[in-house]
Amino acid sequence: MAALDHAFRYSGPSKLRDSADGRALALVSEAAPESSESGRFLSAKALVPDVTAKGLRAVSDIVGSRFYVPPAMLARILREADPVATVGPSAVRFEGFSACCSTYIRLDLYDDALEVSERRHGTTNVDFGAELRGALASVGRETALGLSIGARDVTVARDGHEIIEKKVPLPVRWLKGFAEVQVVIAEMEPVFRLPRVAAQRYLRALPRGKADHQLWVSYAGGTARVSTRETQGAVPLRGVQRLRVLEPLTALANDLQVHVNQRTGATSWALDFGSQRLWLVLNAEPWRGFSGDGGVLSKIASEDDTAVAAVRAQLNWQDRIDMTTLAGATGLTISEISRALAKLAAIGLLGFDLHSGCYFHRVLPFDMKRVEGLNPRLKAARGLVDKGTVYIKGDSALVESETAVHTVSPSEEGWRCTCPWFAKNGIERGPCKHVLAVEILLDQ
Amino acid sequence: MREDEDFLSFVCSSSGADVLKTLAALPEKERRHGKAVSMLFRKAFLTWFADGDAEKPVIKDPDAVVVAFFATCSMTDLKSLRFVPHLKRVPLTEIFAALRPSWTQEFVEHMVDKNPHAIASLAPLWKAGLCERPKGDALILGYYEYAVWRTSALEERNLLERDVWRFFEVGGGGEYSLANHDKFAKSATWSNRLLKYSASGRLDRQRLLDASLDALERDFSQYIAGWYSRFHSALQPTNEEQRDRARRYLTLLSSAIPPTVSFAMKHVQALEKESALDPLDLLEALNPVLQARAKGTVMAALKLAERVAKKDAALAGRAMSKAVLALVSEDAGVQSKALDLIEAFGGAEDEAVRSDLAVYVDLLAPSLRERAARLAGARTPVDTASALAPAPEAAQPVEPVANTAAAISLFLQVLEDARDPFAVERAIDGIARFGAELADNEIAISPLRKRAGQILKLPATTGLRMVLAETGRALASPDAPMATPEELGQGKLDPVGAQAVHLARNAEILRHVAGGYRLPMLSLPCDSSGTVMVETLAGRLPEYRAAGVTPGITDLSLALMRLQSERRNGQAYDLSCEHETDRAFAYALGEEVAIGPNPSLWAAAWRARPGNAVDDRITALFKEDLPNCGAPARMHLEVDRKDSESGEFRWITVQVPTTPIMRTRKRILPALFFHQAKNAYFSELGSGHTFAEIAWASLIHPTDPEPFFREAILAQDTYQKLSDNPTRGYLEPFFRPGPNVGQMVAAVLVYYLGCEDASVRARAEDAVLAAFATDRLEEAAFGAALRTFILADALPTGRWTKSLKAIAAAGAEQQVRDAIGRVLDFSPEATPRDIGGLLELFFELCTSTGSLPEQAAILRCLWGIPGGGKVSKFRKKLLDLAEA
Repeated sequence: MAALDHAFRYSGPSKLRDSADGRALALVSEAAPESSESGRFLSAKALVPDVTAKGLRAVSDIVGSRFYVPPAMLARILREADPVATVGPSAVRFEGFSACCSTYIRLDLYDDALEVSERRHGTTNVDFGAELRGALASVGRETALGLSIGARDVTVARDGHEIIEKKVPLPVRWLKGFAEVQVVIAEMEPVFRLPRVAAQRYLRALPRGKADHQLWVSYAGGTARVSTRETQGAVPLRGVQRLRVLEPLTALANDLQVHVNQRTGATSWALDFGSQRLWLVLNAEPWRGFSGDGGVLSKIASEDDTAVAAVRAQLNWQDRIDMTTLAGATGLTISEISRALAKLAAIGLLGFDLHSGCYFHRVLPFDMKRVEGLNPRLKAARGLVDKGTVYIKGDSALVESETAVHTVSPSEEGWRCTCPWFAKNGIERGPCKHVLAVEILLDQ
Repeated sequence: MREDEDFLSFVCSSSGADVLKTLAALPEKERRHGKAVSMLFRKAFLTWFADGDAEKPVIKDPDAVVVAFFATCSMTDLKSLRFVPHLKRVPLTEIFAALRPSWTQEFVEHMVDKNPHAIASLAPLWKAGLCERPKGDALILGYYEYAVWRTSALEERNLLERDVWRFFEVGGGGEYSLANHDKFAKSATWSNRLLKYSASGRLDRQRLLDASLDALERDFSQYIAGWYSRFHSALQPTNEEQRDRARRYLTLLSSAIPPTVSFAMKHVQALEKESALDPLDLLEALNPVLQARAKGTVMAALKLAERVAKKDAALAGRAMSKAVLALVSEDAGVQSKALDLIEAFGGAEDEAVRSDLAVYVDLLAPSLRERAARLAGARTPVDTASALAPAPEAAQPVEPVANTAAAISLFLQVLEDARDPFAVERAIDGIARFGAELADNEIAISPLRKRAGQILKLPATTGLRMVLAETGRALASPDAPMATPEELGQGKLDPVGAQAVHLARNAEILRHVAGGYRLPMLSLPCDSSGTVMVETLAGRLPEYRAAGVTPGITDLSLALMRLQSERRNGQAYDLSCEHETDRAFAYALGEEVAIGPNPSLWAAAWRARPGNAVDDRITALFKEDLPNCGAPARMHLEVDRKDSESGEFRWITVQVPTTPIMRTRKRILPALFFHQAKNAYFSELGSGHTFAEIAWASLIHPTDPEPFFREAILAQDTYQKLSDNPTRGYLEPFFRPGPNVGQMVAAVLVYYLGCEDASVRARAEDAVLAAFATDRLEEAAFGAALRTFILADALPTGRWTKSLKAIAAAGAEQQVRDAIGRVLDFSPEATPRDIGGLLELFFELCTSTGSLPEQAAILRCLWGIPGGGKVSKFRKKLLDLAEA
């Protein structure tokens, strides 16, 4: 399995300390912001501290979770990454991705959740040790909680000056999934909204153990109903244990909003606290990584990078990227901008906020350049084109692949193929390599 | 230095001391032959026993190889070591003192980090000053390893001055934790040892008390955290010591670990009794506890809130607001207690409390809704019993594939995913209709040839997938005929199972395809009920006659088994009785025809024939009495409990004996194979072992599923939990239009509701709801089956209670109430365990449906039920309700 070794390097551990004003949560970041003497991205006071603390703990919990362990990986030591923090003009976001690549979580803190005294835009990893996670549980509603994100917040730790370095092999599929999940979120649509008490009851009623069988969740008459049968308006759910992270927070939320991506079956479960929002995005199956969904493959297969470059030049840590404004600034059509944004999201430069319905700018703090070239399906498709094994025949195409000739033909839902991958996944997980090869050839 | 061979010869023939002396005389850089020594080391200690052909090297003194290894190896070799090699004569310290390797520190830290067990071997090195003592967490984990501690490898001075305090920072995991150590250490526990140190003054008691609370604030798992709470309790903090830590206990009430919350609650309760807590702080800290899952914890928190309100009337409002939070509990007892508190302190007059309370009214137990509504000043909820979950859709037509492209596409699809039996049947029908054209189209058929070949080579291919792949292979390569069940998958396909029938049917179809015919598959279901309409089959058979083709016996047998019950008037159809197949069809419609000679076909025709009256001409074809082969099979359910000799364990045994007794396992006979299943022999289940296979088998005889459900009962292992439990496939018929439920079917539903596997229970709950919604399941049959299983007292009654609660909540309140009513008819000595929850549910359902428990049998049963607690409470409530 391809992996990139990423060394998380911090000047010390993040800490929740007692301070003169109450408690201070000093999150130590990997990078320091440019042009900041204090070395801080953020210095603020949490206005709803219990929600912020529990939300951060939830982000950290998901980052440290693996909901599915492939048999071949059982013996391997599972190391975890750290959450990613983005400080934007009007929102601070903490996001994380489970080790199994099937679950994404993000805590959005809007301006009325923080009293900000210092802010520098940027994205960075933040250290989140087990001790900090435990301490966050003790933050109550009345706790005065300061929050800072910076590279030099803790310079002296136990045993004198200490550099914390965690070398973590980050699988390419993890990096790709972390980026691509944004495109999956962008395609989601709202389904229903559970009021607080109904949401609490629903989460409490879910099976306590691991439950990977297919369930459907619907909402009617003030209660959520879970069934093994698909009914009108129900959302699919598998691996319910992934939702458990929301349970301690639900009592503090106004409601639980549910979105679904009809193409992939991924769902989003958002707790709305008013000034903060916690998003938990689950892929359709716990053993399925977002990286394999391939929703953007057709878009990124295109060789035309002009639009992408033009749109990229306009990115400046916006919390809401307005396509009309971008169209005006770049002279591109909305459709071209939409494609470019999807491609930028897939390489870790954008996140998607379902609440505003817009992308926001952030730069995943990993070496994403190497990831771009490592998409196996895209690589294989380009290989087929290069070998000259794709033949366009009327409105269909034939693709030679070893001992078989696959027929790629148009249908109402898009291209169809006679390969096993398409037979298994249909259009749910993006195009197969043969369809991609045909698209590349037609694009040339 | 000599060449590799000479050097190895020297090592193998010398003592460890001699090799050490020789190598120690050389500077580190000049000690070569590392690769060769490393190989020798591996052969001598690691791999010779794993490789049967390898000879163990002849070595005079194994210590010599270890010395040579340490003298010449690279860091890569060292890092691949999983343990420190054992030495017999030369101590490790002597080797390292003589060789002085530059990598000693790195090696020691690496080994300790990798395997804390290595500390016992390596500690002498740092004790001798040959390296520094490692500082990482792994050293602390070493203390948690029983064997390491026993060897006294670790110095007591270090332990008491530094390391012991890190016990409270390093939780560990897996086998390395204090909890795990003490669990298996009998009396030699770390807990006892630390208590002794504390008692003797060698460890600061106050620091130990604080450190254990520090540990509980860390993010340790429940198992690991348990040690620290137990240790804190074992220190028996005095009242004063508890008072000093009052704030810490309150903080721990928000712990994510339920036992830690319970632990903190005990101390908080003690402190509250002494009035050592600020009441406002206490109420604030109770927030998370009041919404905990554990009933006992919430009840304790409610009591605390009540005491605060009693002590200070000014805080009653706050206490009531907190009590409202507890209403999120699903437990009626907790809800009732919370309402008691609200009522007692005048919640009905408090606007804020009333407003908060109103949100919960509809979600409370039915018996409490009216009371809560009165307190909240809200309207009493009308019976909010929701409508039953949607019934399965009416029968939807099964459309045959339209063209060659659709046929190949669907076939490739079912090769990858065959969970939908209708898709499988459409795919085979597609082959029957378009296979001849496909076979001539090399481009179209090539993906199928390739994929079928790949699947057949897979080592773990299931029966259904093998059958489909073999069908695809034979279509794409007509020169090699279809394999027999015995040939396919090297005996993995049961020759008398459902997939053997499937294979035989597909082989018949491919024979027609090979002849260039485009004919419909006779057994293709007409709609989603899985049945074949009489007029459709009557229309398909003439196509065969017109083509001069004799229908396949298996295909026709399946078609007859699937024949719809309606419109069986043979005279309405143009029946030719020229061939045996035509006569069998006519016989299935009730006509009198000449019988034989093919037994399988006639058994199927007999099963399809209305009434299933005994027909000696059919039984004569078999030369022995067989179930459902000319005479109906008779089945009855036997549910029993078995106890282990010690009485500690009990388990359920479920049998469904059938007469006549089936003694043969030789025939492929669609009419028969469900009766071949024997309990406890999973491999003898005719339907198969995967969801897809079982779902396909459920279509074999959709109009009389009793034998299929007999197998469903025998196939279930109630104690097994699987991530994709195939037995859920047995419930598929409930989600299709179908016949009314019989005795065996009700038993399947009830039995499956009692399974340990939550996925099976959840599916069974939906199956019950679907059966109720379509009026296919009578409360009487369901209640009778429920009574049989619950009174057997072999499985926890709580499982049924939980499922029945879910079924009632989904709209089947009256049906569930009536079913439980039928269970409540037993003598006092037959009372099953754990019946309290069921009585509580019955009480709530009687309240919500307004159906009082008036029947004499129920009242007699209630009067006689022994037991206290919940049983006694709800027995009394039910009797009161009956009197009212």
